[in-house]
Amino acid sequence: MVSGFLSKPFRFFISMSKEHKGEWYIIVAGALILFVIIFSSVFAGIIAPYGPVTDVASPYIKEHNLDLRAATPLPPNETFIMGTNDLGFDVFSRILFGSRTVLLVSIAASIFSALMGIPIGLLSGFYGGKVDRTLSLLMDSIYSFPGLILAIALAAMLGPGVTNISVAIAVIYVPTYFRIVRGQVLSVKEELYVEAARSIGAGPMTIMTKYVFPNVIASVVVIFSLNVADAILTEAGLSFLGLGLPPDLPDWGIDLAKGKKFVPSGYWWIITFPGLMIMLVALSFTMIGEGLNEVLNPRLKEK
Amino acid sequence: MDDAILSITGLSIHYPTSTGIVKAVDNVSFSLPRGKVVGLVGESGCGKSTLGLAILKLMRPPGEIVAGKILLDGENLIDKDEAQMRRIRGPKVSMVFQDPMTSLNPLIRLDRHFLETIDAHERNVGKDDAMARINKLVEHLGISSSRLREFPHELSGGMRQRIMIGLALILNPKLIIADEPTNSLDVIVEAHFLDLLKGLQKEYNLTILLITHNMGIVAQLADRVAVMYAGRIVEEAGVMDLFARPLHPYTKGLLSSIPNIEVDQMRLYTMPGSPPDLTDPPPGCPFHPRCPNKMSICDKKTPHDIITDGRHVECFLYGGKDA
Amino acid sequence: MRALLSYILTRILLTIPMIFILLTLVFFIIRVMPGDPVKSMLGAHAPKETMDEVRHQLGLDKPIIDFSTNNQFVDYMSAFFHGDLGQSLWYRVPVTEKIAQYFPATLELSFFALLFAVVFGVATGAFAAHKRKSAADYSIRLFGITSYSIPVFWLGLMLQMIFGVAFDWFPIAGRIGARVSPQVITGLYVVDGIITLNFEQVASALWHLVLPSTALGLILCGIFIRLTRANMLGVLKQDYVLAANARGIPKRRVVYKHALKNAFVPILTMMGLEFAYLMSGAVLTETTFSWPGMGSFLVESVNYRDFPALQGTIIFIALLVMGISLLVDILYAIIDPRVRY
Repeated sequence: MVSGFLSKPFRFFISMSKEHKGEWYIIVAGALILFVIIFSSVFAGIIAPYGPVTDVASPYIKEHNLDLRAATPLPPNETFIMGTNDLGFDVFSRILFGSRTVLLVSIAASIFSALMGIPIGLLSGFYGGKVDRTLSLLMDSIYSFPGLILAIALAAMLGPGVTNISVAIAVIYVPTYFRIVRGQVLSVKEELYVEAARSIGAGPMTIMTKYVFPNVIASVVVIFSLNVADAILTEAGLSFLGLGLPPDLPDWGIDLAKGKKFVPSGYWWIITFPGLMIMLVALSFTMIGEGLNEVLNPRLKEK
Repeated sequence: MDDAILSITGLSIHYPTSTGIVKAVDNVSFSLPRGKVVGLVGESGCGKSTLGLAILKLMRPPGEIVAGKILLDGENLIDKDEAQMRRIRGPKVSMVFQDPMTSLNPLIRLDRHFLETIDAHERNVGKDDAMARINKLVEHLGISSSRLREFPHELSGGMRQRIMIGLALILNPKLIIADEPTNSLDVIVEAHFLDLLKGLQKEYNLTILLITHNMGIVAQLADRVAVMYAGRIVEEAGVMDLFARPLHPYTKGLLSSIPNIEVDQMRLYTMPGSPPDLTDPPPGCPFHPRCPNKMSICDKKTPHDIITDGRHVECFLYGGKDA
Repeated sequence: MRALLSYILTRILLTIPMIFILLTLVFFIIRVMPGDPVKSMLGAHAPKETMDEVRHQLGLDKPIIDFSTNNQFVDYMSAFFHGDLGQSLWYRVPVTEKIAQYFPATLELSFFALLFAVVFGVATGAFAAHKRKSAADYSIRLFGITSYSIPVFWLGLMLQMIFGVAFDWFPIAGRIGARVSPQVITGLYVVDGIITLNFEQVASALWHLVLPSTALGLILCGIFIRLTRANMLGVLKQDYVLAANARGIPKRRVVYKHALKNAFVPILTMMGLEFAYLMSGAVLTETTFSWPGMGSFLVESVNYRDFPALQGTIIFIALLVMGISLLVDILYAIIDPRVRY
């Protein structure tokens, strides 16, 4: 039996999970996938059998007296479970190290966006008037623009590098936070309890921090999760186009770009695994975001 | 009642839900005499709307009829399949819903609503003939036929409700089920609308099942009244008898909750308690927890088919204790 | 009718400041880009005089922006309003000419991808709504969520590997077979083939479209599945559907006339919103399938540092997206009589 201070949150969790059983399965499944991926990315140095840029195929070929030309790249076997690429690097090891790049860039980008979009949205919604109109117009302009194409232009402008590509991706998601936060602020502002607080002399800072921000948090968590999923795909897309990241970095998008030329030769393992990983990571964030959305915004739930 | 256009016997409708089975309508029997207006009254959630929809077998899913008979002109509707039911809906029995705004498709012009209704049942009517008929009916209801080219949202609430009546009448059915038809109207419009309904009823010799929670409307329009509580009809009588001498404690409670300017009341009567949870109704008579006249038998047995002075009332105060 | 016209006019007027903001944004993004376009055009070892001369010809020696009327920004804006998007540094032809050459390929690909997404998405979404809570419903919804997470270029590569290489059913690159010399009128090979009655061209063009438009369409269809399902479920619960049933309107008519018409309005809006996403996807799909369209041209322009071309392409895509969203809003107002501002 759960007793004492634990019982309350525990019961809350139980009641939540009863009400949104399906959603919790989705959230937990997403979180599990994500946990495994983050774990293996943090401990890539220990888990990975080889380095990401070590030619491990050549010694193997020599040792087993294989015909060099017929053997490279090596298909999956018991030594290299996902095979090797044309340079003799172990695909599995590259995938483990590559997860660092994609997670770092996409999460950093999403944090950048949130840090820019939330305050601007709060201000715009709270003060209204000309400031709001100008900001909204600017944000709508960015929002209406094809994200990847804007990111291409920005990435090209800023030059290669992990920080630069994160910033380039961050810019395209600022309007997402802006719009959701501004909308929430506008609706919360009209609530009676906020007007009541104002009438007894609560200042703008108090109203913002005490009433507006807590209401916005739920949406921000959902948006953040979905945003990371999208940022992962954008990052992979930019790398695939050869933009933004230094080409020697282990990265799934870059590996796919390099693997593209092996499609006609049928070296499926070079292409299949990095893409699957991109999909899995993006999917785990989408599952968490979608699940939380149903749990936190019950009015959107279909009956 | 020999000449009943519709008679329902032992009808039960269940809604399976995650928390249990809701007995929305529980062993209900009553009938509609031809050419009369019968009021079906009760609090919201008592099952009266479900009963109304059930006559056309249109309960919202997952509701289903689990027992009973619905005889329309002697034919049992329970035996009819969906295709046969479709041909009954409209030409034989039609419905008027509470909210005309949401009951008209916002993207379809009013004349289309009428045309498709005629088209669905009378294949060989030409468009011009149909339009002539529609125009005539609509003008008769006090709406200029030129407004038929408009969309539902362009009309006022009262006009929309008249359009709904028009849609219900266009195929000349003999029975109309009106589910809270004046709920969305303001008082003045409501009065006009009730006059219109009364006039139409006389003119076309319609039978109307008037579902409402408003005793005032019942008093104005109905010939007979059935009172519904927790999925059951607890009392049924002629309108004069019922108002003059209500028998069931629930009916008495309902009537004393109506403000009456002729009686000098200090305060308005309010019934204690609230309607029961239909997934887990109280044992015996479902009204006993709120009943001022509760007896020891009431939470043990359910009263059934009790007739006193030729009146039907489901209450042990009037006999049936030893049945 | 007058209300509708004034709504359309207002909507068009509102687009103008957005175009201005975008033009300004694009201008500055491109100008601050590192790397010297003239140097990359002429090669690093070109004599300085030649570079200066070219720079002068292109107006790049002027200040980017100042308070006079003789700067790059004013040149850029006035050129834009004369329909001039500048000269490609790499190809040495007007950018508009290159766009005219590449755009039809993108349009053809996008059209078939969107067609696939809408037809497939609406059909499966409606089916899921119909078979609510069945295994089919859950699988369709799962597929919908997963499809957002698939990188389109990877899906493209997988389709190439499976259906292009392993089975050898479809070509994996280009728009048309090597033995077919397409007759170009509109630049849309399928349309041109039909106009000139060259059915070999039509077949070959369609054949080449299968894999890229399937890849792009599958990525896009998730949103349509979800939207159609949710809307159909919502609409089928509406009072007017019940009321139509109570009038004995046949089921098929109720579902396809009443429900689908109402469910279609948000789907149409989504098609407008999705267009920007479609363009992003098209860039990646074109690169994957060596499809000679705007996306390939865009990436090429970045790689060659051909900034007038890059700038022109981005502006063109921006205008296109805005135009589409304008068009969708107007269509929306025509379909849904309640929308009047």
